[in-house]
This record gives sequence, structure tokens and C-alpha cells, in this order.
Amino acid sequence: MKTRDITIAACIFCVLFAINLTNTIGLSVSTNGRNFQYNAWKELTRNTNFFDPVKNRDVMIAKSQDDSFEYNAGTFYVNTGTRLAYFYKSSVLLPNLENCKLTEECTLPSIREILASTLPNLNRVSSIQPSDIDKDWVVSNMQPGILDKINIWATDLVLLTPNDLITYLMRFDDTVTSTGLDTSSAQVLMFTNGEVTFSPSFNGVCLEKLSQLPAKTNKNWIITRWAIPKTGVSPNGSQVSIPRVVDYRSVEFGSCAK
Amino acid sequence: MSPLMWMFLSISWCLSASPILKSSWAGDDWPNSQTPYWLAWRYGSASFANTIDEALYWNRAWMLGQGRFYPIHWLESRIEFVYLREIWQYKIYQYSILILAGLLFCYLIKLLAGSDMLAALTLSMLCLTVQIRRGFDPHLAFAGMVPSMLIKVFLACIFIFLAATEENIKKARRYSFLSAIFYFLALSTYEFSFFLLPTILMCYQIGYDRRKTQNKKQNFKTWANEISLRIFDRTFKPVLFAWLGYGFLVFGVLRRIAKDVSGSYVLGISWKSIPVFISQIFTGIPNISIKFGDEMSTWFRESYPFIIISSIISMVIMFVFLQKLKTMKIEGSNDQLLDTKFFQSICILGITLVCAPGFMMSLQQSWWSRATVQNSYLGVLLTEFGSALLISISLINYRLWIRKITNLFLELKKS
Repeated sequence: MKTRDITIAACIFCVLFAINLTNTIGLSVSTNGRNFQYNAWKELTRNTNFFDPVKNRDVMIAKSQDDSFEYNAGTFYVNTGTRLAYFYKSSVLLPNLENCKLTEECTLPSIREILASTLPNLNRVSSIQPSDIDKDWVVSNMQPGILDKINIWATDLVLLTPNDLITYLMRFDDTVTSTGLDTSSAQVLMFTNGEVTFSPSFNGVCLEKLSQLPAKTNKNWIITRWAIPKTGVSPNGSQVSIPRVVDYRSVEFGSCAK
Repeated sequence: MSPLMWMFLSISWCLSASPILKSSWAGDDWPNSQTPYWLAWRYGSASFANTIDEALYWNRAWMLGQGRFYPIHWLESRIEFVYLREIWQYKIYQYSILILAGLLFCYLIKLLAGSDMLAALTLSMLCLTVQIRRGFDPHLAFAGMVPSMLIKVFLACIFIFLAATEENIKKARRYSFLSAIFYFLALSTYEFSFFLLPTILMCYQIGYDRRKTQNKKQNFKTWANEISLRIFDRTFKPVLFAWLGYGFLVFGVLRRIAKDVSGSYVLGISWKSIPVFISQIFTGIPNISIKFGDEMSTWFRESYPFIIISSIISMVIMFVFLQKLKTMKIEGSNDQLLDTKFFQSICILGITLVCAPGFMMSLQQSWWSRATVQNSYLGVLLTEFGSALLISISLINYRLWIRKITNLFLELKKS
């Protein structure tokens, strides 16, 4: 082989290598799409006291809950130390939620009844021995009466923009309707990658800012805590009041001007 | 070839696969990476015993549900996810296992061919044939299952080669058993290796020929006859039994008792199988999976310093490597490989690696009318390795190829 041929061969190799590397880098980086949610959940559960009101054996439900990702009871336990009976996707405990609009005459079943019938689906022990009650958390929760007095919490992670993630926590007040949420127990937190450019709104009412601090794991992130006012303003400026109990089906987050 | 040159070529290989380190969880790794957290939630902690129990639970579920048997993967993946919880730890493992598979493959080629040139060129070609894919990607997802399987297959190949070349019967048997063990472990990591028996057989044949100093090219019929007898050699029998045993366990027992075999695992054949098979043969050609367009230019703009520096480093390494070949006499160089019996065996080895994934997919109804050159499955890593080998063989023999093709045309013209 002449030096000229070798140079040409090396140049062809270089071009093919560069094209392949570009494609490989692009496709690798494209898998990072969920990193913001993933890390925000880690920060929220490890480094804030947001979930302090939640106790062992309580149940949480969220529309975006997904056992396939980090948003589940396992990570919640390891990061917060609180062992939920389970963290359900809302469509599992409220299967007809999407079809049962607020305006329609439609009765949703009791969450607690569905919980009692759904929990055994998580069980892996075929013939339960007394020792399994201590060993296996699911078996322990299946014991009669053990979940009677627990709280059920509504929560969610809502990506308002690619750089703004909002989360809330509200206790179910199922004394009136099965899907009633107690707004006096509400907490709202927003993660922002960069500057906070707007205020979030809850059911058409702009939220009031309580505090702001940088995240521990990523210094570019700002964590802002918000409160739901009893009477507040809507994004168009009119006065709106929030009742003590709102229906889970009506929960909606949006934005107001800063 | 000098160790320094090997090191430089390995740097090229490491650079080409390095983007894996920039990736996040992907594919099945998302749910499976949650294993330690689920274990802690259910049992109070993710201990080693719980991890093994969890792996066996899922293995049993897949055995009885789908009729699949791959416990080693369950063990490996559960242990990985429990002990490598941070993404950077897991990515370093995933990257290392792919790099190791590539280096082991080149070592195998060096051993079989006795040629530094073929092994080094194969390593260089891996930098081009290994491509991260959209959808099912074996490089940065699925817990390193395919590289792990390949490592075991290559170890089985190395040991069977050593068994074939060994004069001492006791030592040969020991190597042969080790080969069978690694092959069974490979089968229990991913069933794809079921189609790689010819790869191991070719390594045995090459070793056998080396010991008997037989390297005269035979016509295909004689060669095929010899190979079919070689399967029943005493030294090869443990590998054959590992293959038969696994086949009986999966197809004879588990498939019969499995309760819920999904469509993806029901094998069949139709005319639709042919385009699937053909499309997958070409998936290892350099840059074939790439979709050129705005996306590519954006990706280049975002990382161009790294891309340009890495490519220039690789170009310089390739230049130095080719210069070395010019000045040094390296065993197995031009005009030697094509006319030897070894060439037939090493080509079959490469062709098996290239064709096995397409063959498997062509039998799966879920891939009919869906598989294309740019839409492949996990086995594509085998095709990439096989393609690197076949391209290298072609490049090494390029002068002889040209001469043979020219002669063929001249003969055709005359007639």
C-alpha cells in the first residue's frame, strides 16, 4: 500500500467514525428525556419535608404514577423512610375516573373498598404463614382492619413546561364523597430549572408564594413552596374562592403571571 | 504487533462506544432499575438473599408463563440493579461489558487466525459496525444481557479451540467441559445463543485443523462432510450435550407446560419470513442505521468538539496502524487467508453471527412486516460483530478478491 492509499483509507475511516459517533451520541443523549422528573422526585423525597404528613401504611394516588419509572412506593420508602401500603395510579383505584365527568350524574365507588379488593393483587405468598406477616409488607397490610384508619393522599408530578415541574399533596376527605379532597391539608411545591417566570394556579386560582430555596442536588434548580388561598384571584383578575373540599376529578394546575 | 499499537486500537474502540456513558436508563432498564426499591418496600431491605429470591421468582414466572429459561440473566440483572443504583455506576458497567466483549472477540480471532492483522482490523471495524439503535438497543439497555451472553459464547469458543489444539487428553477434556459450561451459561443468559452452535463448532474445526496441520482448501461438499462428523467428536460432545440439553428443557418441557406463551415467542414460518431475514443481514453495515437530516446536524453541533477530536485521534491511529502493516511482516497477511481451509471456517463463523438474529426474527410472527434494516432487535449486536469480522476478511484479501473477480469476468467474456 502506498502512503497516499493509506491516507485515503484513514480519512474514509475518520469520516465514517465521525458520522457513527454523532449518531451514537445523539441517540444516547435522547434517553435523558426523563432525567428532570427522575432527579426532581429524588430531591423531593430525599431533601425536603414535603411528605412529612404521610405516615406508614397510608396510600397515595397520582394520575402520573407509574411502576415502570421512579414514581413508585419503593423509591418513596427508600428516600423518605415512610412505607406506604401502596402508591397507586389513580386509574387503578378509580377506574372510571376518565368516563365519570363532574357534570354527569355518576357515582364513583369507595376508594377504600377498591383498595381492599386490589391490594391482594400485589401478594406473592400462596399460603400465608404467621411468619409472613412480619416478613412481607403486602401480607402484613392484608390483615383485617389494619388499613381501616389510614389516610389516602392525592398527589402528582405535573410537567408544566420542560423546565417547570409542579407537585401537590392533599388528603382525601371521603366522609362526604369518595373523591373529595381537603384543601386545608394541601401543599404545593414547584421545581424550576433556572428562573421562576410564573406563578402556578390551582383550579383557576393563582397560588401564593410561601418560600423559595435552591435544590441540594442541582444548584440551578429553584424549589418554591406555594399555598392555596381561601379566596384568590384568577389569571384574568377576578376574585375566586376555593371551597374546603374539592373533587379529585377537578384538580387542574395552570399558570398565572409572576 | 506491539502492545502499544493494540492499546491505541483499543482507545479507538473505547471512544466509539463512549456515548453509552451519556445515556440514561432505557428500555427495560427503567422498570428493572426499580428492583432494589421494591425489595426494600416489600421485605424491609434489599439484601443479597432477597435479590437472589427476586431473580428466581421472575425466572420461575417466565419459565412457567412463557416457557423461557434464562436464569443467569435474571441473576445478573437483579444484582446489577441492586448494587449499581446510581446511573453513572450502571453505565460504567454497561460500557465496560461491551468493551470487554469487543476485546474478547478480537482475542478469539487472533487465537483462531494466528493473525494480528485480522484481529486488529476487526477491532477497528467494530468502531464502525457497532451502532446505537432507535427502539430495541442492546448496547445501552437491557442490563447488558447481549454483551454478557457474547462474552460467555466467546469464552466457550476459546476453550473449545484450546481443547481442539491440546495434545494432552486430560487437558483437552477439561477445556472441553469448560467450554460446555460457558455455552450453557450463555444459553441461560439469552436464548439467542442457541443459534450460535455453528460458531463454536467452527472454532473447534479450526483448532482441529491446526493440530493436524491441515489447512488445504477443500471443495464445499468434502468440507461440509467433515464438519458434520466433527460434531460427534468426543472432545466436542460436552458442548453438543449442553446444546441438546437446553433445547430439550426449553422446547421439550417448558414450552409444553407454559400457560401463557405470548405471540412474540410463538415460532412460525411463512413467505413474510424471507424479507425479515434478508433485512437483518445488512444491519451491521457501517452507518446503515443512521437517519440523515436536521436531527443529525443538531446532534453534531451540540457535541462537535468531542466528535472532531475523537475522529482525528482515530484517524491518526488508523494511519499509524496501516503504516505498520506496510513496514512489518505480519502473519496472515494478504493472499494467504483466502486459499486456506481456515478461510471457510472463519467465514462460516462470521456468517453465523451475521445471520443468527435475522433467522430468529424471521421465525417470530410479531416481526413479520415490521422488521427493516433500521428496525432491528437485540440480536443486532451479533450482526455487528459478525459484520466487523467479514468486512475485515474482505479487506485483508482485497487484492485476491479483485484478481478472482477480474478472472471471473474475463472467463465470462471469453465464453
